[in-house]
Amino acid sequence: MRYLLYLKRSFRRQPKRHLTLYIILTCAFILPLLISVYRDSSAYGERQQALDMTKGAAFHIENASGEDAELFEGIDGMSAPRYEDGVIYLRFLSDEDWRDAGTVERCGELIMERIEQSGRTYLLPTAYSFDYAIESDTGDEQTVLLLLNIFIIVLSSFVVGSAYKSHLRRFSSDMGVLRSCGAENRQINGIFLTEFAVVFALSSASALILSAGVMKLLFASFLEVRDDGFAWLIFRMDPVNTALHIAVFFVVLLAVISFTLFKFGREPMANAARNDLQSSEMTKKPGKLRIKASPERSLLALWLRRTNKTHRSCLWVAVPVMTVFLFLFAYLSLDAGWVSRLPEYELTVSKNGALGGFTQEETASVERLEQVREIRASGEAQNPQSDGIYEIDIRLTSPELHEEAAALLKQLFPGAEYEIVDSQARAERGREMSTGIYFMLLFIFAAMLGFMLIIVYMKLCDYIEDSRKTIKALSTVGASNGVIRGSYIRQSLVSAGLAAALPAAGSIALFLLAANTAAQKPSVSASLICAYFAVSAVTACAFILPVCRSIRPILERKESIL
Amino acid sequence: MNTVEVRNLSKVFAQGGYKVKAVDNVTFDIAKGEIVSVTGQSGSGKTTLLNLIGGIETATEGSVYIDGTDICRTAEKELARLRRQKIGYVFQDFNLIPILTVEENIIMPLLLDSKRVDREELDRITRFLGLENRLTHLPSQLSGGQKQRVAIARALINHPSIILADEPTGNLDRAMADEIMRLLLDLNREGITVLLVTHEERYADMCPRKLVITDGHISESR
Repeated sequence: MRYLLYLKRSFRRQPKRHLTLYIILTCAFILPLLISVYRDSSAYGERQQALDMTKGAAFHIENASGEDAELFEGIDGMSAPRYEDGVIYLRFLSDEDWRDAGTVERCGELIMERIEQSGRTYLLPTAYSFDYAIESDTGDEQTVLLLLNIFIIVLSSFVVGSAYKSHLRRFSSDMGVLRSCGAENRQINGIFLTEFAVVFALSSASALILSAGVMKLLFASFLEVRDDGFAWLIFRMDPVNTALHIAVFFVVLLAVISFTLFKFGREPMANAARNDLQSSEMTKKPGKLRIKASPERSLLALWLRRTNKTHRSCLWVAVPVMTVFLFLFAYLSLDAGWVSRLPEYELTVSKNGALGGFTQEETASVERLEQVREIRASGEAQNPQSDGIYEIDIRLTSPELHEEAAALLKQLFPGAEYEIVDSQARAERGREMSTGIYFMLLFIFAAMLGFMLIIVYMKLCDYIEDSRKTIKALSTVGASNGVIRGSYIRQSLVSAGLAAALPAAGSIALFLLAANTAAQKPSVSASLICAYFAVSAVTACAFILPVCRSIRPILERKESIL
Repeated sequence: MNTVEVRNLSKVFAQGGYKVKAVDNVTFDIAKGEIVSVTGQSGSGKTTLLNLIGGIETATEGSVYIDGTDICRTAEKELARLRRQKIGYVFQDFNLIPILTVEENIIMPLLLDSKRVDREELDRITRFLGLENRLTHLPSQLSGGQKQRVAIARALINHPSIILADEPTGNLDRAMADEIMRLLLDLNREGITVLLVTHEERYADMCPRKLVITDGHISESR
């Protein structure tokens, strides 16, 4: 009860500070949640795709007719054959049999034996393992995403922990007073941990609603994929997975904050109450003070040597966050560009190699279609023993005719041995998806930028607030407002320059490395250059604005500080 | 010649809709080489008067002349230069820069003027104040008396026309306070003008001239 009473007063006394913490935690949690939703959606889509493809059956016998079904009747442990659209489906009666690789192999051999004995070698059997069809084993991508998420959670926990440390520092005099009144460290820690739990609950709920809402909207509009030829992606938010993410984030943050509180608890009581932050940071012997040509430059040199810790910690937040974002933007732009690139040949029709290649008449029938401008036959090189053509790439007279031409090709080649790939439709789908990806990036950027901006803003405002004593002393010994303001703004400009340049350089290096690894040609677009400039400008402003804003009232209300 | 001339000086603070006259139509002069004390009860306007003379606060009415320059009609930049070159401050809470060593705190006014440090002058001042062995220490490593001596050294480094001392003994024990008071009197004997604000009659009585401030009004007691 006493915790709640203190919290109520604390929230009322400094609502902005608590609101800042709430926004930081919310923004920090959005990116891992988005990745988690994407991971769940990808796994769910993959599973649905496998189910759609296998239809719950262990064996698919393609190129079949209805009469062929009787050939596979009476196989021990398997269902009666079911014929549908040129395919015969055979299911195991028990999942245990399907799980057993030996049983699947034995049944497969029996099916092949029956095909060979009947002389119906045109039948094409395919076996699906239980793992693939039902359990949908999590692939490498899933593991990579999980590891990436854990990494992001741990990293952002430390960043949030550092922001939380700044928050707790503001209350260190409160802690000192409470301790001097006889409160034990355990009780003081209890107050601040309860406060953390309340803020965490609110911010994780907000992040959850925001992420789920935005992703659901993006999936409904752009990102959901249920098309052949793509890996399926269907919106899904696994409650267990999400709860696990929240738990990991909570535990890591709790550890970081508990450690900070533990360190505060070991500080001498007088230090905690005095709250003299700048001199407490001066642990090592200071370097020599140099008198430069102008007082601003002398003071700048002084700040850079003696009080640059906050700026450095802000750079530690801003540079990795913005580097990751710029890299993501550049790489996903490249990827989206690659996916949505218009194909040279809009359609491709292929024929199962086991049945021989296309006949000359079939090739000619493709050429005769009025929508076809030219064809490119391929396949011989892959199978030099055969003189047949297995794949025909088709360039249309106009790309808009791809659906019409694909329908005509389906009529020309109706059998299961033929496959028609509409590359134009894929590219168009890719373009549609890339819009969704850009929106998703925009959302991620907003969250990351919000995260970075608020932390930098809070830290730099606190830095100026902590410099109040120095500003007061400088003012009394004759430093003009312009000199004081100029020196602090110059210090911010140095950090702003680094914060603008380092992410750009780092992300370009990462982008080139990733493009090289993926064997893709890196390209530079106008939107990419604009994004780089915009991000650099915003990052630079993030360092300058808080200093300008927070130093002004101190200098203008000089009377109140003296 | 007068170092300080105060003419019809007033300062009004607005506090929650009420107006409080901290300094009310005050006029007096301080001659060059004089030491003057200002006493009065808490809230009588002593510190406000000192801040107005030092150009830290702006007057509502009236003028303050330092070496003939009206600081109430001077731009902020020029006022900063005056504070740097003509006025030396000594505060109750020392007002030292926590991230600078003793030596750096002392030479800060020179740094703000982009002037070279005169080592001989620095040595003379630090020896006079007994700080020669403390030059590389941070303020957090000094006692209260030492901190106040650093503040006095900083006030002296630019050869100011006047030293404004606001309760310089307020945060010190009796022995230290006596020592600081002796230092200020010694400085005055060397020709430096001093305006001392204190609530301790004992120290006010050490000064040849004493002003008493009551509810913003000043009267000469001696």
